[in-house]
Amino acid sequence: MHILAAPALASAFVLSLGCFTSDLDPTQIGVFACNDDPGGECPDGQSCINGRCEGEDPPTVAVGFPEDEQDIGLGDGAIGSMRTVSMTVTGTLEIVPTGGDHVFGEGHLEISVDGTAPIIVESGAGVVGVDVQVANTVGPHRISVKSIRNDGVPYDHEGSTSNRLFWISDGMTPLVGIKSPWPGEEFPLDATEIEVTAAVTPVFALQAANPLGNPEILTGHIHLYYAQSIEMCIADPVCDMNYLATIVAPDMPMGTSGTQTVTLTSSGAGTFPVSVVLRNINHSLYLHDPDPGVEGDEFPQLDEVGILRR
Amino acid sequence: MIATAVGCVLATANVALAAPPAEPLPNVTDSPAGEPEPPDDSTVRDDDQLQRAMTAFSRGSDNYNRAMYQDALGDFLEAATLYASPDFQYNIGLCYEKLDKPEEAIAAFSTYLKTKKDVPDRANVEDRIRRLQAMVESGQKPSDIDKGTPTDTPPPPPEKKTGRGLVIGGAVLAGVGAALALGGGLGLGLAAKRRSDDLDEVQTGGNPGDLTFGGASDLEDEGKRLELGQIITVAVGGAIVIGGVAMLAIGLARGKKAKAGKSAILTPSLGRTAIGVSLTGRF
Repeated sequence: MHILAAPALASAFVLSLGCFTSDLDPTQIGVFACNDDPGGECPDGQSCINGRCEGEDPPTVAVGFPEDEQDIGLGDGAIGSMRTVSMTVTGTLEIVPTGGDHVFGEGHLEISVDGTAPIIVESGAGVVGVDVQVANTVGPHRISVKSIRNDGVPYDHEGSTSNRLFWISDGMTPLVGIKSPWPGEEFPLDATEIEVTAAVTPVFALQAANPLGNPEILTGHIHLYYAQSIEMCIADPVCDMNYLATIVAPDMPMGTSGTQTVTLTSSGAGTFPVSVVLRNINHSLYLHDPDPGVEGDEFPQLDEVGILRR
Repeated sequence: MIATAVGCVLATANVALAAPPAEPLPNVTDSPAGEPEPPDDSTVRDDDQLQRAMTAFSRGSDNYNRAMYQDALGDFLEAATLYASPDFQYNIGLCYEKLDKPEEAIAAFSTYLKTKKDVPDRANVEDRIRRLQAMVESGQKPSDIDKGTPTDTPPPPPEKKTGRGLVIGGAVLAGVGAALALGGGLGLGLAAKRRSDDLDEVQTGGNPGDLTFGGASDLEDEGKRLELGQIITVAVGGAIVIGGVAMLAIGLARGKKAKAGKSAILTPSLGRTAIGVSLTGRF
């Protein structure tokens, strides 16, 4: 009798009852969760998108027209009326109808103009043309295109959203607009630094401030305010002087954007305005005078976006 | 007297254990008569006759052990007829002694002394003959002497190893090994299987727990460690079981040897992938 058989069979039996049979496959797409915590990284070659490790080529969208800071001019319609702008969207998102199961790379577009209710785009490929309604008003305007998954969850990776600031201008009035932060952007409640980028139309030059200098036509800088109602603030000398920072682009051509980093104070939850105002080089309020022959028709140039603190 | 007889029979029984049945002659190492004569090549008959003699001898030993002295005598006489060994005469003498036939016993013992060369305990056998002659003269029977206190019998053989300790130790060791292999192996194996299932659920079940790749890697590492632990535990436990079974088998074999004189051969084996023992023999 060969008594090796019994222990061998018993060992095989025990080993067969429970053992580790899985093989971790790091190449699987859309399987592993990911986050910013240590150990929450994705395997090499994958990106963290919506909390899952996805492939290297996530879907993208980009506004083609209007171009960045493009001045599309006043339309033929009356000022203040709605006009149609034929915008274009490009990207790699496979645009499909809403309501299906989530398939990475597929989705639909949500296009919003100046914060209005979004337009849903459920078809199209390549360069997608979309007609949107824009108020025919002189000033900065914003288009936001978001790629949304089939299950309604917005893609959250870089390139999944495209924001575009453009102008509707009369060609003479200097305009200022905030390119960053974008309206609705979220920031934490505690003190945090944000980068504010403001653009001006090509007729205005952002120059360094000179408190002793004389105001010059179409030249000046930007004052930056936070959590103030800008129109009321500039009417209040104390508030007006409590700007957070100036934004300049010295020695740069007219119409060049300027960027400034500021620290937002701690605040409660809610929406707070970030505002910019054109100033003369000596910090006085820049007032545009559309008709120098007419007394009292001057008006300031400003822009304001609401950011979310929570 | 009893001790002498038992010692002899046990000693002759040892022959069957120590030598395969085909060996030509019994080797009565513990015989009171001392070292038996080695077989003389000139006296060796053909194998068939020798085999029959050995069979009769073995049968006689068994009968003697069962106190069937008359049958044992017949067997030893048959063996002596088939093969001329002085040792058979000694056992014939023992049987006559048991059967209260001292004259015949004296004759057999005398034949043993005459025919066996270099009897190391010749003095003892001669003393036994003298004692039997005294009994004949006094009208006593050997069985009467048995009831008394033997004073001139050879010392009893050393107590045979029964292997009881090995049996108990082997059983305990085998039990411990089995418990280790089963308990540890199962526990670790099931824990490894849980990790495996968890990882499967991550990879094929939609990852409901939102496990990160780092977490999955940790899960895999943990599962593999548990599996390694399982293998080691089962291997160690199995080795202990084998050791225990080996001890048990040796103990049982010794016990059987001591009890019935049967033969058993325990052969350890060592291979590249396994160790163990092979137990062969007649049970």
